[in-house]
Amino acid sequence: MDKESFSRQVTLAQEGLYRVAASYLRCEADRLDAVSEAIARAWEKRGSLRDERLFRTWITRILIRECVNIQRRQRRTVPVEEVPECTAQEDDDLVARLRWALDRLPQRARTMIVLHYMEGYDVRQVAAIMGTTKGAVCAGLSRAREQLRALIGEEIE
Amino acid sequence: MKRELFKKVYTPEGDALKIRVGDTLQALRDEPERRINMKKMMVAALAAVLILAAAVALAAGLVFSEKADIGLAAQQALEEQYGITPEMHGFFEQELSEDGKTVTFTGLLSMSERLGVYTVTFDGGKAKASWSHDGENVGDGLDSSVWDAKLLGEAMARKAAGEEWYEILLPEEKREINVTQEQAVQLARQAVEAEYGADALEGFALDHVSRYVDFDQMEEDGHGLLRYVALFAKESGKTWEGYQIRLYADDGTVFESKYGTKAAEEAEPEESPAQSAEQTEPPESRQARSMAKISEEQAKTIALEAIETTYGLTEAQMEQLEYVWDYEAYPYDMLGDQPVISFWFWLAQSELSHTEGDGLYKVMVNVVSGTIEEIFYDSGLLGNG
Repeated sequence: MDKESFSRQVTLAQEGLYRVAASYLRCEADRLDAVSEAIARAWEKRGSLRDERLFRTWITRILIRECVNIQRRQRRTVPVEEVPECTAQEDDDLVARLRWALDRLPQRARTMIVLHYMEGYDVRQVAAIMGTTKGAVCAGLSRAREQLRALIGEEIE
Repeated sequence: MKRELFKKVYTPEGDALKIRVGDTLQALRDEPERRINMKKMMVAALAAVLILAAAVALAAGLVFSEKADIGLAAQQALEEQYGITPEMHGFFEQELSEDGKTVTFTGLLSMSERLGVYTVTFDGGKAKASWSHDGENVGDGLDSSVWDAKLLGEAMARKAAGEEWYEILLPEEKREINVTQEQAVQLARQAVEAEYGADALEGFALDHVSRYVDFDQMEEDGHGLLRYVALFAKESGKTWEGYQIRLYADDGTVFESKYGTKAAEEAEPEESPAQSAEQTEPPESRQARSMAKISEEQAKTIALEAIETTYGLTEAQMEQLEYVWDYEAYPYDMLGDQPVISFWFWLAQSELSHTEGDGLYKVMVNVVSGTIEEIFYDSGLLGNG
């Protein structure tokens, strides 16, 4: 893969990568760091990508590892009770309510939701990205949907 | 909920992302390649297959709660009277009324109109099922606006064979694709130049192009439901500009063109740190665990027996059933004032295709009485979405 092709693929994937990073990292600066590190790492490892059609899946896996690295370096924990209550108007700002609800989910569940519902990866792809099994992804998504439904009363389709 | 709305939950601030990515790519273009020592990442491991225990420790044997019993009885009535099998349950939302006399099965959002609502009521110990589409003409094919169990089964068979849902749900004239992605980009460029000027795209790069299904337009504009969206973007200093074009995939007609610009926003105060992967156990989990009178292993044995007896899994299927463990999910919880533990199991008899019985099984066991409080099965063919 040459630099031009790599740049084009990265440009097309950048917003999706940001959303995945956001599922791990709350701070904007950390998200940008993670995306930037993932791009650099992906360039270094480009020889390991056998099929350019799998670029998005491949670089998303690299990104997740970078996000986990940042989390480990920081080792910061926010107890659930400190996550601020949603102040968005009821029946009004669905996006804000959803953001609030997603923040309350466990890490892996939140990332599964982002990968499946926002980025459109199927269960098999999510499993490959997160280094787990389809069963774990199905169970994780099912649990997350239950929790989101309980929190915001909206069905996630 | 539409994916585009969902994506707005996490939006980069201003053009910081574009600038950062641009800087990173520029640095890569400038720097020589270097050797990197790769480090292997450790990923979470999942538990292996369980072997069913030979005997249950509890003298009472397998007991189902009234709620679980009613749910199972309703499912049985639904199968007997309408042919809705356990494999199909994943397409419905099941809910028990507060008085415990009615169970409703509501088709999930993308299928809600077609599948309708099945209602099972209990009167004098007898279950009677009805359907919101009773009396309507069902039709013969999957293009029917109403799907009974037979049509749902046909759709599931096609999904299991590898087709996508949009191929199954959309009639052929609604999923026509005569424009390739490359052609769509070219048509989008021409549309921008025609509307905004021949040099409108100077300095702009293709940011994004994708094909999507617009289910909301089922009734409407005489075109197929598959569309393309293309975005051309440019940064000028601290300003981001973009042209977004939408066109039909059947004939390439442009139906929407937008121009937008965004100035860099002021930096916001840093937010609270994110939750780490090591959460503290919720108080409900700790309480349930402290109240437990049966061990986790005993509860898991009960759960497996419940799956085997309820769904009639064979010995071979039981051996392939995989316990799904997630270090972030706490299986203990309180159900009202009762402590419970939930188990998730996954069956995939083949990597290549869906086989009857494959899917997700969940069992909730009361850890004082050993009663099955909840049991459900999702074939997974709807994609858990």
